[in-house]
Amino acid sequence: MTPVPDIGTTGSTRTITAALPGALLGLLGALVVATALGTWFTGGGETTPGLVPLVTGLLLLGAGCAVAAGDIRSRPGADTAAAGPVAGEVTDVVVVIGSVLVFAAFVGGLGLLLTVPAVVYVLATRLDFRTGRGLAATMAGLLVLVVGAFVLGLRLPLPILPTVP
Amino acid sequence: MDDVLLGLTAVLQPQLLLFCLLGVTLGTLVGVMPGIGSLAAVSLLIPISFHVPPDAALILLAGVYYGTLYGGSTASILLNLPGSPSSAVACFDGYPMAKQGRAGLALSMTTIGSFVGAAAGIVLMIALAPTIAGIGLMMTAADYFALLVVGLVASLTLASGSKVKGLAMMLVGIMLGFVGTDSQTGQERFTFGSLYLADGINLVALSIGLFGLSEVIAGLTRGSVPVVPADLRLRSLLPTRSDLRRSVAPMGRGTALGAFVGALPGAGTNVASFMSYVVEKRVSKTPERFGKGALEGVVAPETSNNAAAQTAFIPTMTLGVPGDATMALLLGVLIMHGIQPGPTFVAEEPEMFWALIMSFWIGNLLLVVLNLPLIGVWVRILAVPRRVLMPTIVVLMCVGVYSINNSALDIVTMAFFGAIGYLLLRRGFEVAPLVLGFILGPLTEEYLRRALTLARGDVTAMVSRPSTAAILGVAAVLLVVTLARGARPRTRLPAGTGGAP
Repeated sequence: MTPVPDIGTTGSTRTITAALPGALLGLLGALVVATALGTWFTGGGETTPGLVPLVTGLLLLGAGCAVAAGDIRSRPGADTAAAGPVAGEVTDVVVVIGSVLVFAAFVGGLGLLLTVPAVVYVLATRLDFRTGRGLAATMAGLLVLVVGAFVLGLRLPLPILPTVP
Repeated sequence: MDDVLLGLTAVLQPQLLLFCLLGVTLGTLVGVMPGIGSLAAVSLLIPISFHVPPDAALILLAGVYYGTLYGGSTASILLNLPGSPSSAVACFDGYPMAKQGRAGLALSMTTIGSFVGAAAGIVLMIALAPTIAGIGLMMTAADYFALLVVGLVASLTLASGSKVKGLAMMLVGIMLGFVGTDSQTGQERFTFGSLYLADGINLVALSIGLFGLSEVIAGLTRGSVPVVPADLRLRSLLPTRSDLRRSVAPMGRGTALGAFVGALPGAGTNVASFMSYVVEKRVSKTPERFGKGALEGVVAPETSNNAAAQTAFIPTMTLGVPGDATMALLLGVLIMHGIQPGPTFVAEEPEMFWALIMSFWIGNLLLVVLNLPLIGVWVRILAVPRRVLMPTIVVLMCVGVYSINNSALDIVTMAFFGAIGYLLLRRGFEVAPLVLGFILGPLTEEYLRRALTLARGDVTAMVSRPSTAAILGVAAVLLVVTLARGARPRTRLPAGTGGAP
C-alpha cells in the first residue's frame, strides 16, 4: 500500500505549530520595540532608558523569525519541539503548578499547619501513595521539617497557625 | 602568603566551617538527585542565604555549587540519568561500568579525579586572581560593557541544542531584566503600573521556577528509574595500581582543559566536561572502548568539570563577569546582599575573598570524605520514593521563596516561571542563557549607558579605545562562530545517556 503524502491540512497545522514558538518570540520582540519607541524615545538623547530595550527588541524580533524558520525547516519529530505530549503530562503540569498556587493562596491565612498538608494533598493526586497512613506521615514529616528548619532553626517569622479574622 | 593566612584564619571560624560543611553536604544531596543540576541546587538554597551573614552565604552557595558536581556523577553512573548537566558525560562510560559490576571503581575514580581537578583550579585561582583584579582596576566602563557582551555571547555555548534558540532565550532574559525602575532616570519600565513589578522580577522566584519547579514537573512525568545494584564496600571502591596509572594522564589533560575553559567568561563546566571527553577519545589508542565502560571516559570529564568549577570563580570574583550561568546566579545573589564582585571586591573585602578560596580547600576535602567512605548514604537517597521526594522539594521551594519577603506574589511568580520553564524545555529551548541574560543584561546596560554618558553620547568612543574594540571584536567573532557551528550537524556521542544536558 502506498503511503499517503503528509500534506494538506495536517501539513499546514504542523507548520503553524512548529512556527508558533518563534512567532511568539518575534511578537514579543516587536512589542518591546514598539513600547521602547512609544514610551521612552520622546527625548533624553542616547542614554534614554529606551535605547537598550529597543536594540534588544529588534534582535529578539530577528531571532524569533530565525527560530520559526528553523523549526519549520526541521524534520518533524527530530527534537523535543516536535514531540507530542507524554500521557498525563498536562495533568502533571496542572497539579504541580496548582499545588504551588495553593501554597500562595493559603499560607497567609491558614498558616503552615494547614497549607503544607494541603500542598501535599494536591500533589498526592499524581503520586502513588498506597495508604492513607503513608500520606499522613509525609504531611506530618514535612510540617515538622519546615517548622524545625525555617521557624525554629533560621528563626523566620513564618505563619504557623491559621490567622483568626 | 599573608592573604592566604588571612583567608585561612577567617574560614576556620566555627560558623564558616559549619556553612562550608552544610553547603557541600546539601550540594552533594541535591546533585545526587537526577536532573537537578548546580543551577537548580543553588536556586533552591538561595533563600537560606538571606538569613545568614554575606561571607557565610557566599561560602554556603559556593559549596553547594561544587558539591553538586561531586554528587552529580553518582546518578549518572548508577541510574544513567545525569545528576547535573555537566555529569551527563559520566553516563557514557560510567553506566556501562556499573552494569559490568565496576560501579565502585567508577564512583571512587570520579571523586579522586574531581579532587585533583578542583585542587589545580584552586591553585590557579590563588595565583591569578590578584593579577586579574589588578588588570580589572585599569578597565573603563566601555571595557566592562565589552567584556559582559563577551560573557553573554559565550553563554550561547551553554545551549546544547539550537544556538539561535539559545540566543533568543538570552534576549528574553535581558528583556525580563528591564522590568522595574530604571536606576538612572527613575522611570518605570514594563511594570504595567504594578507596584510589585516596580522592584523588578524577583531573581530567586524566577530561577527556582525555571530550574527547580520545571524539573519537578519533568521528574513527575519521567517516572522512577531503577538503581543499578552496586557493591560499595571500601574494598571495591579502592582502585588498583593499574587503574591509577591509567587515570593519571586523563586527569592531567582534564585538569588543564577544565581550568582553561572554566576561566573563560560564559563557558562553564558543561563545555569543559564534553570537550574533555572528546579529547580523551581522540587521543586514545583504543577509542572503540569509549561508550562501553572506558575508565578514562569517566575520569577525564569529571576532573575537567571540577577544575572548571573552581576557575569559573576567577572572572566572577575578580571582574564581576560570570564564568557560567550558576556563577551568574551567585553574582546576582551577592549583588542582592549588597556586595559587588569585581576588582574592587578583592581589594576592599580581602578577608571574604580569601576566606572563600580557602573554603574551597576545606570543602573539597570534605567532599572526598562524603563521596568515598559515605557514598553508600547517597546511593540510598537515590532509592527514596518519588512520593516523598516530590512533595518535599515543592514545599521547600515554596517556603524558601515565601520566606524572603513573606510575599504570596513571589510564589505566583515562581509558579509562572515554573510553567514557562517546563514549556520551554519541552519545545527544545534551554533556560540557562535566559537566567544569564536576566542577570547580566542590567549590568551590561548600566556599563553601556555609563560609557556613553562619559563619551557625551559619542557611540564611536565605544570602539576608539583598542582594548574595547578588541574585546568587542572577540564577541563578534564568537557570535558568528557559535551560530555557524550551531547550524552544522552535530557530532554524535554515545547513545543512551539518559538525556543530554
